[in-house]
Amino acid sequence: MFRLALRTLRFRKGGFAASFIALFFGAAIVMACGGLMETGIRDAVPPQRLAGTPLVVASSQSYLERARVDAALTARIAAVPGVAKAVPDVTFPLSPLRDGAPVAGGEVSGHAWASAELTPYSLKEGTAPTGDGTVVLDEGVAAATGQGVGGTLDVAVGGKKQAFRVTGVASAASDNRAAFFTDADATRLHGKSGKVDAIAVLPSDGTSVADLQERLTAVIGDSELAVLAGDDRGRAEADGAVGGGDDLIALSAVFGGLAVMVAMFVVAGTLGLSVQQRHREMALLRAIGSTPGQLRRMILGETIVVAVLATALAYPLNLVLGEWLLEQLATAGVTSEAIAFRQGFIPVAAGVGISLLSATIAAFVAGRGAALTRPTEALAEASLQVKWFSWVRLTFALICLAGGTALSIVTALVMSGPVAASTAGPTAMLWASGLALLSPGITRVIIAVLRWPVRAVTGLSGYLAVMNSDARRVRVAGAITPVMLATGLATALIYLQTTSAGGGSGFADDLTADAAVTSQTGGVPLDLVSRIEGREGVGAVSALVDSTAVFRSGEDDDDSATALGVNGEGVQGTLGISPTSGSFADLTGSTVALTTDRAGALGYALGDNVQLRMGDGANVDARLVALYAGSGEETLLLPADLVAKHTTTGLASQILVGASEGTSEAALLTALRGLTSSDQDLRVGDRASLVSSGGGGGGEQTGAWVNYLLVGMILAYTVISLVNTLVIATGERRREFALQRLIGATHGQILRMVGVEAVLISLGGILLGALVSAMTLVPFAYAVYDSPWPSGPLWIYLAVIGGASGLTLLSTVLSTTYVLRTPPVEAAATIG
Amino acid sequence: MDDDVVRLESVRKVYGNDRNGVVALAGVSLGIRRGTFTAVMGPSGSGKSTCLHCAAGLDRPTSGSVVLDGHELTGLNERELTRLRRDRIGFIFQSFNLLPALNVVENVQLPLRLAGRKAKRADVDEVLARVGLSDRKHHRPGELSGGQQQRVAIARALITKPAVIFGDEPTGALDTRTALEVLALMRRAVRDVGQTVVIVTHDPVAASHADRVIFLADGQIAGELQSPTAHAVGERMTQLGAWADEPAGTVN
Repeated sequence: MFRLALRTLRFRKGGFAASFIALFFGAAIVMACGGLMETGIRDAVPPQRLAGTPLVVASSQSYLERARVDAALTARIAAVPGVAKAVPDVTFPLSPLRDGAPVAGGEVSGHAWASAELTPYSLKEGTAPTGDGTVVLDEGVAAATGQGVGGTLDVAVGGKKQAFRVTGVASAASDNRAAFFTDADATRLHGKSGKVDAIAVLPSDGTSVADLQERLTAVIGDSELAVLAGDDRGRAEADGAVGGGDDLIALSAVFGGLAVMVAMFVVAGTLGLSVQQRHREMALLRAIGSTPGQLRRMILGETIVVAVLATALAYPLNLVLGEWLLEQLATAGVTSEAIAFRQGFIPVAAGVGISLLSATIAAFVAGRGAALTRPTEALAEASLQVKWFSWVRLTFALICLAGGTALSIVTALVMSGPVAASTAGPTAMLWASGLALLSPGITRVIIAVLRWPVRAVTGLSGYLAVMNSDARRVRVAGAITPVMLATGLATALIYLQTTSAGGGSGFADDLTADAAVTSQTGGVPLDLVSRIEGREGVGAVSALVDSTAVFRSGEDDDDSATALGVNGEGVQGTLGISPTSGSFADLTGSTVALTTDRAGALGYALGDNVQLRMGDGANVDARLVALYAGSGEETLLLPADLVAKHTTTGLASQILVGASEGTSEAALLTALRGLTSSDQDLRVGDRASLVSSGGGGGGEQTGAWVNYLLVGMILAYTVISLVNTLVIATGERRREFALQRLIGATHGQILRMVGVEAVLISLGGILLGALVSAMTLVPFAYAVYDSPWPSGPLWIYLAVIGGASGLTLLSTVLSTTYVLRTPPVEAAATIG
Repeated sequence: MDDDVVRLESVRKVYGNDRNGVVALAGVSLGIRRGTFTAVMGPSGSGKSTCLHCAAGLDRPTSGSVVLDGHELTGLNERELTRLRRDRIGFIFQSFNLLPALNVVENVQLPLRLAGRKAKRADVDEVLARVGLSDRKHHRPGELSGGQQQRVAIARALITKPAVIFGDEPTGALDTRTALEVLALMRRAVRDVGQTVVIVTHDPVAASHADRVIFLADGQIAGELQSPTAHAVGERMTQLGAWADEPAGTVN
């Protein structure tokens, strides 16, 4: 049977192209998601700047903000036998300026010259920095700023502009954007006295790195610190010391899972169609003595050959796709740019396994149908309507629909907030699968409903189209299914993003600030608040420092929320939130304000100590001084200086300003623009820019963008399968079209008829797709908003259904045109 | 009676459910003797194809019994039926007889390979010589004429040395001369090796090659002829109303 399968494959290359395409892209996407997951699990950030340093002592934990090391430890480490040298290493972001504006390429990391040997960097020109206000630039930085030895470079550090004299230009093997200062300057600019970011250890000759690592770990004896070697060293140099692995795991798990389900669905559909197409061949085989089991094995054999081939060829594509996705994720800020794409054999094996498994399951389903073929059907001149209903099918359909309903209910009632999004993919797929299984029956109803309006509008072509669709109901259902999947998934997944973004922007909606001061060079220093407060027309002022905090008393110690550092006095006038009890003015020192929901859930009352772990891993006990009604994304308010102390940069993302009574927005903006004359990298934005940037929730925007990217990838895949299915379904009707032409139908009449059929197919698909997306979105909207209406612009839906109908129409009509190129007499004569 | 290779006993076949079903066979009993050439004739809708399908185990009767080469077919499951068909029956259809992906030799070998048996090269060569296709062994069906394709189908039916060969309008898609060649081939198989052949046809000329013609009308046996002539068959068909609108003379 296997040889027969191979022969058939070779003979019908075209017929298997569809299955091949479905398997090929499915395998590539699944493998790439697997690769991303492994990348996330390994969280490998290979060192670049510290590449020349075998061991690095740094914080053992990865936190959002950088955790630091006591500088005093350097001497103790240097005393350990086998250590040739211990170098304290500091890193601080700075923006080189050219003619007052930041140079292209963004931030540069500043270090002490002592760190230069850790890469190692060597001087190309000039000398090491000597004396205050001198700097050595990396080649790249020198080129970008146009400065060379002897020149003067303006940089913005910590929100302040300073000038340095360039004493040298250095180069290193890897591409780094670094600038080196004297130890004194570096310590001052780093701004954390007594602390360094890491201590680099250079072993003496002949010392085993592994042994030394053990000795050092014992000497340090602090679980907060780790002695890093190999790829782990990268954690000490990456900004924020987080590869972003956890986010990557979650993201790739969600989308990888969805990709697996979509791939199974698409492969099963395509394979089913191609088997159906060979209906008469199957019947003939049955008549001359193939048992149902032999037919099943033949289809399985064919499918596995195609699947193995498709998976093997998908491997190179998966590598490109995985790295490209990772790059996009890094650009969007989900992961660190330093994280390296790591794909071992496990994700590849898993990807191959899943692809083969889904192909096998699909082949089993398709083979079951083929095995049920009655041999007498080979004898029938015209192939009859395929029998579709079976109890097995109904049972599976009901299981899928019940599962989908259960998930919908769970989402609506049990889940809350953005977590609810995690059930959306499975819900949509379960509903889509259930409906797909029942689609021939549903199609009958849809055709019955659309029969009269379609006929009334389209005349003879419509009449023929309706008759055809009714007679070929099972096949029409096969075409409706991918339209349903594409529109249903697109609508569900896109509106899921807009709905959750809508939830997050509740925060921005509340904003009452009239202006915001931001910096072009990364952040705004907190002391700017006092300078703004004195200005004319200024009412309320508050800095906004973004970070996260974890409630240590949370059930799983992983109950995190967005921590916003603010100036208590200015909160009401800028963020537009009012305390329900307590006072925001008390937000000074170690204090916190929580939403009433959160405080209630954790059992805190005013005056209680809230145990928090800040973004850099430091524990802070903050007194609860105010409660407020929270909307959308969960936040907690802390004093700006408290949050800034625990962030990498210590800067505010922006300063929100509200106008005093009687001052217009324009007047306030004019008053604030005075600031920029003295400080050129500051920017003043009006209210509109404030709202569009989403206020404090900047992180949500980038996350959403990445979700769109992944959603887009999966949608592209369903669109391929949509076109695929329609092209096969049309090709199958060669003889039918030929017959119509022989009895006098013109090209135009056939194209019109096919066009009306395509409209029927898209209407059916859109209708079912709407049902699928509604079952996903309504519970989600209910979980987030307590309202059944998902939010988001209407044009997206119009674009989705327009795109789906357009594609359906286009692929049907184009493939019909192609089929019609064969002269009718020839086409009518071709077998099967 | 013991020499009957196929025996139908009060076979009824109803399509659809009992209330508004279509009765295709209304109690047919007949026996086919080993080594004979039988033609089943009847007007459209007389149930002749259904009769063939039931006799060949392709379709299950609603009631009654079918005994094929000493085996009772009723009660066998699909797998057992397939096995029995594969070992004891050869098939020739009106068209689409061959798998387009396989060449002539492979198509002929297929039933044996499906049964997990080795196809002896000599056997294949022999049946292909018998149907006159020794020079077309490696052609694909698409490269053969309609008559050649039917001859491949006969070769495929002969290769398993079946107890019966069933033909469903085997000459229906062929021109007169090619049809005569194909009928002569079947006739020769009956004469030379004692092969049993049963065909369904509506062509009196085709039927006249048979030893015996059985007439069906409205799902029941409406008579039979031994050693028929085309003329006699045509007249009987006219009586059955098959060509009621046409003058009988056109039949010859």
